[in-house]
Amino acid sequence: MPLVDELLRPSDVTLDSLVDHVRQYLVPVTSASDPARVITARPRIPEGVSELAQARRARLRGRLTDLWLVLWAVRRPVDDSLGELLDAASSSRAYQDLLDDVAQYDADSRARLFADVRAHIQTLSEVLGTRPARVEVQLGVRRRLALGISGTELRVRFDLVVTLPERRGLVDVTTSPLDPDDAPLALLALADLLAGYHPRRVAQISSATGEVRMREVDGALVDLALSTLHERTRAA
Amino acid sequence: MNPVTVSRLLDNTLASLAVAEEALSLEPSQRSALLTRLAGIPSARRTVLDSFRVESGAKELEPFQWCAENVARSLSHDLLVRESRPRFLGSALDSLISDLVSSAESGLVHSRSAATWLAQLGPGGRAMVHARILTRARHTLEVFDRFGVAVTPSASDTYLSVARSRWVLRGRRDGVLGEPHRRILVQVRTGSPSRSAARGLRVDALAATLAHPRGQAPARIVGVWPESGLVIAVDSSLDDLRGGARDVLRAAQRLSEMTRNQAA
Repeated sequence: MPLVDELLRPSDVTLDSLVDHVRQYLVPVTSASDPARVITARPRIPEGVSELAQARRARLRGRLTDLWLVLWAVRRPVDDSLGELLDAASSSRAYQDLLDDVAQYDADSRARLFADVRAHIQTLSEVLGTRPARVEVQLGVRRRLALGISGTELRVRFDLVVTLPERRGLVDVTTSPLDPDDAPLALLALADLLAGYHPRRVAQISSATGEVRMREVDGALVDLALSTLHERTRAA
Repeated sequence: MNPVTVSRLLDNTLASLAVAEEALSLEPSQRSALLTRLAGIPSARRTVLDSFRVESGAKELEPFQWCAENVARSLSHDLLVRESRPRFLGSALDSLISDLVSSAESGLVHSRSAATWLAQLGPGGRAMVHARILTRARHTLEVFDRFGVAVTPSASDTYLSVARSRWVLRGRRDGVLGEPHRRILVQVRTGSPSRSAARGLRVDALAATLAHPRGQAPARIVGVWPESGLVIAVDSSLDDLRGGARDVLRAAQRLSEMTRNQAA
């Protein structure tokens, strides 16, 4: 079954009681304020790949893959030269840094970067397939939620949110190999629940390996998210 | 001033804000008093005063340039006025963009318009704009749905050119609900609310009041920040409108001084 259909498959889990349970972690809001500490859901970098993931080229690869998702969402194919990706970037203020960085690359480095990106796009394209026309897609959806743990804010970004009436799936795309830990997925689900939505499933895709990890949003996942939050708050 | 309601965006938060008391109307003398004071502040060029200016404080703003993000806000309004059924947004957007590009190619629109900018984009650029507009429109519809009553998408923001001056007041709004004499304005915002978000909402309420033919204020203005799951609502009393007016005058004064200093 294609990934998007799998994400939006009906689920037996009733989320109402979970939603009531997790909302006790939110502070009553009285005014906007700066958080004392920020917890993000992005997966920790697995051992051995930290150098690669932190490199400038890895960041650019991530941003270009992100751009490809934009074209995927509007069902436009990308030509081989990847010129369309840079064309797309040039129309958006959010990608100005990407254009500046790519402009600093010499022809060889640029060719290597694009070859690398093409491989990631190919993998991602195989995992995602063509976007089903009936499914609504939102890109780059962010959540910033003040929690009831002394000035802590949970910040997450969903690369893709796919929806059908009464069904909602969250997707995180990473250009690194997948971490075996479910905590990032749990935090993504928690953030969406806290913002008042009812996600059914949450998935993470690695465009490096084509691996997919998908979890149904249920009590166990929410418990994992809450324990991760406490653990990270203590560690911060 | 009425207390500002800051709340979490939960299942029934917006529905509970969908009914408001009857709104007040400004007397013509009150309206003209403010506009006369504003006209008295010199401005070297045509300048838009809005909640963004108030919320961004003394920071100098970069000159306006079209990009996918600001086109998305403007064209998502047009899109939602044409089509509000989520399933048909994509095809309605295709036809909207095609209309705009045709009008630009015919040379009938201003060279600095969104249509002209769109017409010179390549396929990748248009895809980016397409994605941004659709995401914004869907975000907005999702928020509207949560009110539990019909919300009419606004075709545009409110603009008021201040007579005998070069100031233009702009009130941001994405949708309107309720009866005309107790109308509620809705804004769907990105990111998190700033510390002065409530002041910004009062400025938007003021602009809507001044632009209304009978000076009628919106009963309430609701700012929704879905990314942060926050909602800020301000009921517009006379004091709230006065607060908005003070902020607008202060922002105009600041801009006027900034321009004067640059010229000196």
